[in-house]
Amino acid sequence: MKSIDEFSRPRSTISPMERPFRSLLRRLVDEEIMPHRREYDEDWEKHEYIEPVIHKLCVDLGIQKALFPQECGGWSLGQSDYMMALAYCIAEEVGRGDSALSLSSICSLWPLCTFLIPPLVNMDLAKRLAPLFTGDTLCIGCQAMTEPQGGSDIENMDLIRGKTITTTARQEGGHWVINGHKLWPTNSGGIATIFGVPCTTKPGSDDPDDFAYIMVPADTEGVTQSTPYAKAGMAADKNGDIWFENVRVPLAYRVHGPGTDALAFKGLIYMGQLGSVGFAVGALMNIYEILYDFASTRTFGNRLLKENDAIAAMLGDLAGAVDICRVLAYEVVRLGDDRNKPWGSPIYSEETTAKARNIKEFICDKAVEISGRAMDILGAYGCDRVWDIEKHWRDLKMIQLWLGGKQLCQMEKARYYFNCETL
Amino acid sequence: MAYDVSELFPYPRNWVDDDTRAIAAAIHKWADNEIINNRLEYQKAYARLFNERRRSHNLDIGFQRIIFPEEYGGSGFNSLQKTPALVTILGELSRADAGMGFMSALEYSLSAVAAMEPNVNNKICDLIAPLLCGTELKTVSILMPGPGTAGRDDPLFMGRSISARIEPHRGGYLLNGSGIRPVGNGAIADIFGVVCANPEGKAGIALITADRSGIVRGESIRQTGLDACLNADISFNNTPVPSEHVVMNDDAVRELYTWLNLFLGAVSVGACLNFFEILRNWAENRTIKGKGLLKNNPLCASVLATVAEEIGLAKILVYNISNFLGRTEVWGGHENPVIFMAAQMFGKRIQQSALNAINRGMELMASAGYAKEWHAEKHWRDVKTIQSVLCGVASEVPVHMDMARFFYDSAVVA
Repeated sequence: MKSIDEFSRPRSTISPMERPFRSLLRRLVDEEIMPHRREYDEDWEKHEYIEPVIHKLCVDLGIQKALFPQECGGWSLGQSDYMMALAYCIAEEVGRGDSALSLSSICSLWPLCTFLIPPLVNMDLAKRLAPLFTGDTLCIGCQAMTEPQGGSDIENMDLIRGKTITTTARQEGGHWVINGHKLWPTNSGGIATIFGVPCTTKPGSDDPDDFAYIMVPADTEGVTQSTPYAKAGMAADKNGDIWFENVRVPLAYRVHGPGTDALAFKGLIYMGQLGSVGFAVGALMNIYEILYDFASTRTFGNRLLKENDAIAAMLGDLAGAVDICRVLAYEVVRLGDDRNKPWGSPIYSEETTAKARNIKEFICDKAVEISGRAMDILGAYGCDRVWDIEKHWRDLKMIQLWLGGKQLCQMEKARYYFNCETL
Repeated sequence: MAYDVSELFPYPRNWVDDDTRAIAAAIHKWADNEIINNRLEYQKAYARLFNERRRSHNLDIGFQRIIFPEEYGGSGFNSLQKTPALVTILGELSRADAGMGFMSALEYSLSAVAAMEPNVNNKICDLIAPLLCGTELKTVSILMPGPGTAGRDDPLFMGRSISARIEPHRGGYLLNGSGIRPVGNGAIADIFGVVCANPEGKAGIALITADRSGIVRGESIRQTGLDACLNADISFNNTPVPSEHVVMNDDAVRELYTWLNLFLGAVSVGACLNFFEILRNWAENRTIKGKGLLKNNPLCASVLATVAEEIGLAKILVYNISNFLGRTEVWGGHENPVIFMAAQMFGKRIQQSALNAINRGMELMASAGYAKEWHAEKHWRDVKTIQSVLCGVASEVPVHMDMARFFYDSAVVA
């Protein structure tokens, strides 16, 4: 049997530590995640089975400390030219087993990317928060951006520029005082240890200087989290409401300052696309594995499915699309890992954002199509949870919809490639 | 602006009589009052409320017996001319809950094979009419041909493997088959319609009640959608079937495919109509870019239009299949191969359009699209489940082979 490692990827973007790390992850996914992922699917509310696996990934494997500089007890991954390749590797490998588990583990680091990736590093804040992430206790980060009235407006920074944000940050003595309501972020629903909160210091302003990104420990007085929402899938990712009522955090918890916070936040949009393509391609590779098994053991017209010309053509198209999606995903990796090269662009640049969104949209559209088609190939077994394709189908649709969904991707592309000025 | 979603999408209204429209309006109101306007309560106590509402629709109002002739205690909707009426009724029911519609669609499909004029099979009606026209809620499961297993040489129905076999035994038959996957309802069925093959490999349908000996249900299967239509693999171990309860006829199997495509098409369209209502409500109340309503933004309006287009197309195709069947003076009924082919071809397209409508509409709802609170995701999962089980195996390939045989005299077997 061919393995999923047959799918293409540019060797030049693979980091020296990727091979052993990927092997480690592959074994963990095969032995500890795959056999239990149906249990995770039912565990969306309590996370009795899910939390120990997240602990294993984030604490035991060390993912949660990866971004912190070595002098803070981390791996200095934020400094590495292979940072995106390794982040993608984690997203893809764990996503092959359970994309929500991958999401929850990786998104825990998402808010940290605002101040741990050069050139936008805040060493003082890194030192303050490192003890949370570099110890033996699970620390869950949550990037709390979406607001009730704004939907994907918050991700649409190039156009809206924070104008619709209603969560406010007011400076009072040595503290920021935060008031507002966020909803839907990954790792909310009661499990977050610390939030990254986009706020405005001047409601209604579209001046980037009035945008603030502030880290807020979840146990700060005035922070309330709802119980998790019930969703179609992605059980390992809890989502809920978060209310901030006169929440006071030290001034030092603002990641940078006027103007730079907005840039750092824009970089998060790229990181979101990188994770998304990793989760999606990981799921697609597992769909290929399941299809391989089914098409090699089941028949139509008393011939193996894969030996029937018409079905083989369909299978060939599906595998070919997975291969192309993976190549494209590595292009997203390259965009990020070239950020410090003379030919590269910062992850918060318009070019990087637009190109990453373009690829994310393409891969997600393909992934939704492939997973749906794969279910139909299995027929009455395709919608059976035992075969696991349907779980990927539910999860992939959610990946397609988040981060502003397809339409925001289309607008970003149009603005970038056609210099649209009024969209 | 107030609107009636049942009449918003154009369809040939002259194919549906006034009586049917009145019945449809009554179901529409029932669906609003009993389910749609109380979704959250319905979701919280789904298993209990599903059965209560299904009982109310099927028994109190009487839709379980609708297809059977009046002499069997039915409502006499057993002429092919009533097909558009059945489609209309299923669509309205499925607007409330596709699971309920799915259960009725399986029941109507099997009942139609038994009771639809001009080929009323009195022996089979004698078996199932007392159950379906009685005072208890009954559930039908159908086992169609599907994938075969490597190394086995199965009898085939147009390329699809037939896993159930019958063999003559003391004037009747014995039915055998192991771990066969039904279209749905396997775990809870009172009546099974089983596509089977005789020792010569000829296909037919055996109808049996669940109390027959030798029937073993596997563990309940958790599925993507249709949560209430609990499925399970079924094994038959020398299950006795009286000869009069077996229709040994390829045409009967083709007819069963035709009814399934039609009725499950109506179910998916019904689910889509409620999805449309949810989406329209969303587009009328949510803003984009901090200003205008979604529906007034050109990009969102374009996506909304695609959703409407797909639903409109699916609806018109469902009514067209029903018209082919109803216009026996033109098409001649099930004996005409074009009926089977059209049902397969359009049935596939209906499911594709229905799913595409929901998929595209969900794009505009972002996380609300997949939050259970908004109910869009349930329609999405239910319609996808219907599409997959209707494929049987190998996605659209079996239907493409059926079409190639019809349009090109292709000799393709599989």
